[in-house]
Amino acid sequence: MTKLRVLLFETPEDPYYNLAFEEAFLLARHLGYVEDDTLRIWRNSNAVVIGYFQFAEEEVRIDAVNRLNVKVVRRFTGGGAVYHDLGNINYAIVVRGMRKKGTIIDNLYKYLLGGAVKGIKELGVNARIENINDIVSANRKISGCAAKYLKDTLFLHGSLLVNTDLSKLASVLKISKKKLADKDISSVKYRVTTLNNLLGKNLKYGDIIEALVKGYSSLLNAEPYFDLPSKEEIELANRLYNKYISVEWNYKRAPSSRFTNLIKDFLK
Amino acid sequence: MGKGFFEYKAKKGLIRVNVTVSNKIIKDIRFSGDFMLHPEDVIWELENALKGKTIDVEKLRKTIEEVFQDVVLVGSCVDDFVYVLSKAVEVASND
Repeated sequence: MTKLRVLLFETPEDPYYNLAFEEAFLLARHLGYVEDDTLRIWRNSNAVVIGYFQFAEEEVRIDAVNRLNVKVVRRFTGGGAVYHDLGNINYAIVVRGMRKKGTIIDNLYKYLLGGAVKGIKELGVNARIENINDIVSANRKISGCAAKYLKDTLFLHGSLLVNTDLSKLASVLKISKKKLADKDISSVKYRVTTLNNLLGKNLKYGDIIEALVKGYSSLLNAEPYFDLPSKEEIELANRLYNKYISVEWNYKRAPSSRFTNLIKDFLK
Repeated sequence: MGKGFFEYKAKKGLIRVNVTVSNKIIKDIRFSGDFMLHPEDVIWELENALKGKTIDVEKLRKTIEEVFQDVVLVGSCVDDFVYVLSKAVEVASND
């Protein structure tokens, strides 16, 4: 049976390192420093994470962010801005090779996102994928995701609202008028809710970890084992940290290519 | 020198364009938003390809089609990018 490596490595007080590690563990698997497909589960304590094509000034209420001491960090995948507190749990999966017939996009979203859906169902919530990359239950969005591929390495990460402070979420993110005005039923911007709201009880972090590990091991038909970051993952993250703390990256939408020199000796 | 901004919600993802036009030539341009495309860095190629181009919609369409030839757009299409760009250019021309 194939194996699924599980990492619970996180630095909630330092979202810049969390995002640097996110790229590092994708690269480590892609470059062959890590043998097994890997699931990472992690959290930030108080951060806004914006998409690769977004400008912080367009997505974030800077006055609220400063007042509430929220750190703003940009990720390396497309999609929209999300607010992270400890009530929001992030999952990230990296696998080598296509798993299903169909396009790479089908493999990324329809297939890989299915692991998170299975996990959420384990918790007793009837969830489904809607609108390409949303996970929805009772017509409310509970999870969004973004993906990337590097040749045959597929990567998907998402955030799962378990007990997030939704009013804080609404106060730090700008919502575009164009999105609010959108009446097209196929592109409904779902209202969001949390798993705790849906279930009427307080889930523990351990419950979510167990559910996501079950969901992804079942999807990939793999035996899970918990592991620590490898020395290459840590070294890559340490170097990439310089990218994720930079103003150029977080506020000026610099392309990743501007930072490849940080890790060039790993790319040989 | 005119500046134009336009945003458009595609099926999935908001596409924003900020453009600066002078003598019917694109001087500066940036795309932003929560759209999804692979490989991601093609968006900078597109911006570079559009700089210096005249603001003729069909020519701009051709440039976008060329640059996006091997790109996978998720939840949006080339027409969405052409539309938002043509609108932003129109705003800039009237600025």
